[in-house]
Amino acid sequence: MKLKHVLIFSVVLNVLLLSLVVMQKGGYVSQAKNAYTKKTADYYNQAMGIIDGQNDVIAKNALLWRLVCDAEQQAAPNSKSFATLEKQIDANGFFGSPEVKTDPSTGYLTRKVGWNEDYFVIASFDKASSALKGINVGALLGHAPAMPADDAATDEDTGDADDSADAGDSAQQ
Amino acid sequence: MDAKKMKIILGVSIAVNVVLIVLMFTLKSGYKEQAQKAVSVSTKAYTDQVAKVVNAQNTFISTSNMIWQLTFETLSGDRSESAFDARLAAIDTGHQLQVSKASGKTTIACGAGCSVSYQFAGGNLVKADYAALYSFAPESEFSVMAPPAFNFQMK
Repeated sequence: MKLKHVLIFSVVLNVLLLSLVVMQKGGYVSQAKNAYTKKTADYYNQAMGIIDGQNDVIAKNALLWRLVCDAEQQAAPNSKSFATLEKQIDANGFFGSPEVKTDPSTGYLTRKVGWNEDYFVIASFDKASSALKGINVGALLGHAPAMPADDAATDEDTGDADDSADAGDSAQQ
Repeated sequence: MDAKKMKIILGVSIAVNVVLIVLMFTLKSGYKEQAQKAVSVSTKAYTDQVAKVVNAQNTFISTSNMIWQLTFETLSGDRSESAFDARLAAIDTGHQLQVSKASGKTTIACGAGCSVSYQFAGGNLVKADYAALYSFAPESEFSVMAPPAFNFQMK
């Protein structure tokens, strides 16, 4: 009777072990699939974030570069024509509101145009004639210039066509 | 069933159990190795593909920055051809840019189907054409596909 029980146990064990041998293959395939899916999905998400972010920088910086190059190609660039160019080039409105200040060291009116804190250009204009005096593209090349600290900025002409007439006049006086 | 037959069957059963246990551990080791290798190879194939896109994008950023700088400085400064050449040499110190010159026109490649040109006449710039550079759509050039399905057949 005891021998019969041992035999039954052994045969059951045969079946169990055979099942394990068959199933472990599927288990490893499944584990491998999960490991691959997780690793590649993580990598994909990270890469997508980086690549999309860089594409955004390329596309938006191209707008700024085009703005400054087109401005330099104008026959007599000034604050008005610069502002007009801004609107033409930035049809999708990526640029924020331009920051206009007076540079105390030169007395020029400076206009900072960019699409975020890191990427911008600063155009300088003569206050009397509104003529373009130069454009600083340092931020696009990785060495951002400091914007002059001038709290009178809000009173200055931004050069925009839809600025108030008073503000526009004040820049040309 | 008599005791003798039972003993024979039990002996065979125990032997089969031993064989199955040995087989299970042997296969386990082989399966694990195959699975790890398959994951490693498939993952690397994908990450290599992504890295290629990232590298191409970085190269474009570097190249386009140099071309934009060259274009801007040329338009805003001395527009003579000699000044342009000097500027180009100063900016492209690593000779990364693909520059070609023909009949007063200097062309610089900015990618597949993308080039910027500078036309000189009488030693001075008459036209800079950088439309291809600002029209370049990076999202259509630099994008990664989602990882392909894991294709693994255990041997």
